[in-house]
Amino acid sequence: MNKKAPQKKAQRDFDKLLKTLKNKDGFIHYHHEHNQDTMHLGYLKTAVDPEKLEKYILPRVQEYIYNDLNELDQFIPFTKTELTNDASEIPEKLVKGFTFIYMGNASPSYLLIPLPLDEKRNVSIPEIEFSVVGPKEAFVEDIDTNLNLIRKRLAIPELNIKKLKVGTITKTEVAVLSIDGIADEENVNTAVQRIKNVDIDQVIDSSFIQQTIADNQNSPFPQLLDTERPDRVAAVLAEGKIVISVDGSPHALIAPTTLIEFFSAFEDYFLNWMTASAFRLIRLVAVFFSILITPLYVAVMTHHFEIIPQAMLITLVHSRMQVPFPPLLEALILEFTIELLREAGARLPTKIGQTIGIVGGIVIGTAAVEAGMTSNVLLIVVALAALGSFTTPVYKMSNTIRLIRFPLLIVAGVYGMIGLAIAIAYIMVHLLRLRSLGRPFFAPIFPFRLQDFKDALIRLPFNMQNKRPFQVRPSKVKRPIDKEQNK
Amino acid sequence: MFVIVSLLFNYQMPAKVIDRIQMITVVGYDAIDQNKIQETVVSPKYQQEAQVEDFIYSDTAATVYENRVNLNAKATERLLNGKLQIAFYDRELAEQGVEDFIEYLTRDPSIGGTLNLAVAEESAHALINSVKTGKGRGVFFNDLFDHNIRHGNLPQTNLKEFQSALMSETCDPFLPMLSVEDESAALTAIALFDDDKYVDKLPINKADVFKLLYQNVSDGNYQFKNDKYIVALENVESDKDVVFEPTGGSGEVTFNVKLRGVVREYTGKEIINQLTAIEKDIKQDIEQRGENLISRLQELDIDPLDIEGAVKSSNRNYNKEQFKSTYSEMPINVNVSVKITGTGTRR
Repeated sequence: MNKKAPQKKAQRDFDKLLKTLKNKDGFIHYHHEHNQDTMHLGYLKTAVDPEKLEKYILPRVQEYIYNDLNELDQFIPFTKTELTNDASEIPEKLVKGFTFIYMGNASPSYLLIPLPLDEKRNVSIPEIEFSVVGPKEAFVEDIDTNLNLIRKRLAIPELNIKKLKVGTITKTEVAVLSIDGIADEENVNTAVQRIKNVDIDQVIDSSFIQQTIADNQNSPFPQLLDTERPDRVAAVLAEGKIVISVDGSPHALIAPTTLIEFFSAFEDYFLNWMTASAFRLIRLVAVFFSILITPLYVAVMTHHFEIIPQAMLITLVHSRMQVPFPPLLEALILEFTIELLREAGARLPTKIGQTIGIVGGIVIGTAAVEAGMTSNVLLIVVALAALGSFTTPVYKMSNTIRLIRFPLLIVAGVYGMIGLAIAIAYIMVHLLRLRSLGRPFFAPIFPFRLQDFKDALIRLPFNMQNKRPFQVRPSKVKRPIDKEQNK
Repeated sequence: MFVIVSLLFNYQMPAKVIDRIQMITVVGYDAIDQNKIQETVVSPKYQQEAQVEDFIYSDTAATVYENRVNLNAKATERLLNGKLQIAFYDRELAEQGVEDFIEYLTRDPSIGGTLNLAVAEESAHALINSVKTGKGRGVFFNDLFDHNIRHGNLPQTNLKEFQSALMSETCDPFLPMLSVEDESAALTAIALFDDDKYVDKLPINKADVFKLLYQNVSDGNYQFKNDKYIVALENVESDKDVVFEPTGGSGEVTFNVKLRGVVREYTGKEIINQLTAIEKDIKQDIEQRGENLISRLQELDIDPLDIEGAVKSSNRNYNKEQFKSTYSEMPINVNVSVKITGTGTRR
């Protein structure tokens, strides 16, 4: 009926908004008289960066005289400002770090300025996948920083980043990265589809995605490789793999991956190919050793004394003479002790953790042998097995290796070598059936792909790696390698 | 699924925990009278500071397993065969035939094929008891055989070889023979068998020719002596080849042995000028001794060198009966070529 009616409604809405917001913890509300009107400014203390607010917003609001919000907007040095008339939008925006300005009758809408408080860690050196040579950058929790670290290494327009929101409560940002023309479209689509189908309320870390999109969630083996190295991510993207980065997680996921990739450290690519291959083989041997040595010891000591070489017999019998338990129980106790030490060391602060290592390793070990609770040969065996499991570069895989020992141990103690053989066959079948993003996990051993062996058990020189791994089905198999260089 | 689970939970391998058993390392069998044998077993107990103390149990019964029951009654832990290394048979038993006693060794899956068999000249019980060693009698005897096979005059022998010769239609087995010399066990001879029965022995210091004719030697010794000089060869390598030529009635067999060695001991004149002469002397010596040995084997009508096998494999008209009747008169030649590859350096 008159011109003032919408303004009155706006004023009423504003009063109502103010009333609800006043009850919120940490809500701060400024207002000062201005051109007969009152200017209101509100924000949530815990969501807004106070430095930006005091430096860029408050002086401009107080010093200058504006007629309406549009004019004010021109002077505010932020690009993503929004203007809205809807008061009901405000509470949601406030928790995301926006500050609103309301000028009352002069202009009955809200100016929203994004001033989110970005607490982020600086890019630091990798701690889990540390390498002596090579780049020393690691991902941080902030996804934009992480994507920037990757983009720096792959400054090409073909780098494709698909962003998704996952988690009904957390609404975590998840980015699927791939290189157009190299990565297989099907892989990208599978990953995107699976992430879309994830139906959990919170995604705190990339491990949540890793577990929920895994092909077989009931497998002890991780089926997506996680890395904290942007250089590794760039390298695998160029191989045609895809990478999943999750906001709030300093670990990116690589898929499709293979079992053997879990035993390749990225440092392998910084060393000369012979050294790198030798160390990779050592790591693989260490894994087999770590899994099998204690079960073998138990099986032989319990059931198959015939196969002990004569020269070792005296040592073995002598070391077991005082021990009151059967070998299985003895091995279980000792393995349990080692796991206990490891777990205690991992949960305690670093400085105390080291002390625990010394106390556990030296004091308990020596005392247990001297008290006749365990044989010193088994102590060596178990310690070597633990050492072997630590050579695995990927932490999640080394956990799996530690876990797998226990069923094998029990089977070896109860059924001897036959049991051990059956249990290993079972694990092999499981590994053969396992897939990573629909691609065979046990490649290139099965299905056998000779050309993928160039970077599996050993790493051949770069000029021989002129084809991308077939396992990921890259759209472009050939790698552009300068042939002239080798002449 | 239910079947699998119930099988898993109800089945358990019988445990043989290493410190809850007694491992037998040596067994010895002696003939007591017509159908009684005495069994002697050695089981080591491992003491502090890697010392080994052998426990020796002995009893008599009609069969090996009956004996085991008696012996187990004396032992603190279960006696098991798994680490058995040597089985001795005394000469009397060997003369009666050892096949029945080998039988149980080949039937037990925990006994390996590399088990050594041997004949004890007098009594296996006395032989086992005569050994004084800190490392255990099993290891003692095993090492004794091992280095004699590797570097000495003893041809390759173990349970597997013995059994294969025993089962073979063409050849006869042999075994090392030990006896007590100066209150200690020593390898003294090679016992020759006709089928599974002991017939004769060949002294071990004369067995070098036997080994040359039996197998390819890779690291042996050879001593030669005449009135002018003594020469000893070391690092002897040889290749053996048996050729059959169907001439005359029964055909003719020739052993071609190529021998290479290094002089280690020589008492004659300047060696460089004498090499051809030494080679010739050694050649004649081996050929003569070899032919003597073979004619002795022919007299005994035994064939441990598997001459029949060589004939069978290269003669289409081979006939077992015919070979048997002509074996003792068959012309068998030994043809040796000697090459001295080095004379050592003298300071």
